[in-house]
Amino acid sequence: MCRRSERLRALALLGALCALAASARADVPTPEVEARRVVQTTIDQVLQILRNPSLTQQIKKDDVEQIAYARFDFQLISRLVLAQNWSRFSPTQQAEFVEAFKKHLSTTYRDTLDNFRDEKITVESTRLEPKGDVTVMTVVHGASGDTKVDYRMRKLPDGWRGIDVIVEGVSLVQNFRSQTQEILSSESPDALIQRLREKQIKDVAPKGKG
Amino acid sequence: MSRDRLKRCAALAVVAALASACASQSPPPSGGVSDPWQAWNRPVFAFNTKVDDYVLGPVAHGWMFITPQVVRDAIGRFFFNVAFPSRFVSSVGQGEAKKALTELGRFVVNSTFGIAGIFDPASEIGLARYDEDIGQMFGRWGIPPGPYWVIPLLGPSDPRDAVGRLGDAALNPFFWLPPFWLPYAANGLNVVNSRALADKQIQNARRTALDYYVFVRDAFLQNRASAVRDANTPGQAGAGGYDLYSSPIIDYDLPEEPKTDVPKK
Repeated sequence: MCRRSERLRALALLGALCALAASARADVPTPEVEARRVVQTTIDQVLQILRNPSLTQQIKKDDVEQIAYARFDFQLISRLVLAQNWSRFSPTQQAEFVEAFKKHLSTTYRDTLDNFRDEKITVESTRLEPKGDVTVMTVVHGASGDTKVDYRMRKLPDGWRGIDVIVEGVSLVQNFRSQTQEILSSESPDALIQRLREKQIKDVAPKGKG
Repeated sequence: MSRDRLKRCAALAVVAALASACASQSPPPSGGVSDPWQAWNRPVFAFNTKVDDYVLGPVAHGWMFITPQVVRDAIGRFFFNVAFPSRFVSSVGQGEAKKALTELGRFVVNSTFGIAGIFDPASEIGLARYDEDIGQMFGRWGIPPGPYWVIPLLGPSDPRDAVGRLGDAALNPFFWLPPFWLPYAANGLNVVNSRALADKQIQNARRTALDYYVFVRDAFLQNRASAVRDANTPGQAGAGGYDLYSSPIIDYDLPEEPKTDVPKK
């Protein structure tokens, strides 16, 4: 009798401990929850800006650009794009490339904002990657079909940052890596940077072809 | 009769060109990707781009000028709905019962309540849209895509997906409808309308790309690889190799890449 109640008490204690441990764990968000929250907040912010009728298109683009600069790590993206070619670049060239590439991406991205037609964006799921990155999967619901957009997030000293965007399975990092590898197989780093800058000039005065 | 002969001539020309492309020494991997048929692909890609510049693009812009966006969206949904058999067969062939049933449900709902597919009420009641095709089914069966292959007028492909496209075309009801001109008219409208719907993306791609040929090739290969992979492991997207993101901060020496880089094995 006595023994049995002791055992019961031990069991109850164990149960309480487990519950405590579980609640403690629930308080600390997992990387997936954290990354998902960052992506969700960012999407909400961007949509709020784009849907604000009192802002001009120009202001909207500037605001969204600032958010993108804060949420993506362009230095890291550039290094990932250049991959083993990064070491062929001098520190000055590296800095020039990062700056030119950032400008290049943001210019094209600004243009795509003109196509925004009040689509709904939903965060679907997350995936923890082998080395601690988290991929957050979203869907843009358009009139003629859905588009899958995944964000590869990495926890850096100053928080979660986007390090890649994957549209319908096409990774931006991988795509530019292929292109820069091709170009650098026959041209110098300076020539590549020059190409990026020339694109920039053409972007400013878009002219149908090119 | 003359149409048949024309087709046979075209087929011969393709085979001859392929043979000569194969015969030439296989060039080194370009942009980290194996592209053994480059000698054929690059000129054909340039040709296709010109066709888009001078024929398809202008026609699509004319079409955009005379139709409102809602009409183009509706036509896009109509053709997507009509192409239901290939998605259904592909899902069944992959043993995806749920996808197959969803497709069937979508087709029934959208063909009736959606007025021949010009609206998409199925999505609103939670029947999600899947983009399955015969090429993906082949991929699921373990058939490798083969080399990247740019087909005149049709664009980026590979031998596996080219055969898949023939299957998709044969499963399209328009292919079988009686008046001989109907498949051509329907296909023509679909091509122009699809080009119009993708117009912004195409312009954007051409402006973003540093090397348009490599940009399109890589986008095609990544997209197909992920479409086949998606089917195998749900939610798995993106460019396969872990090395793609291996931390450059701590250890920047990424392993010698060209091979590990290719999205799929």
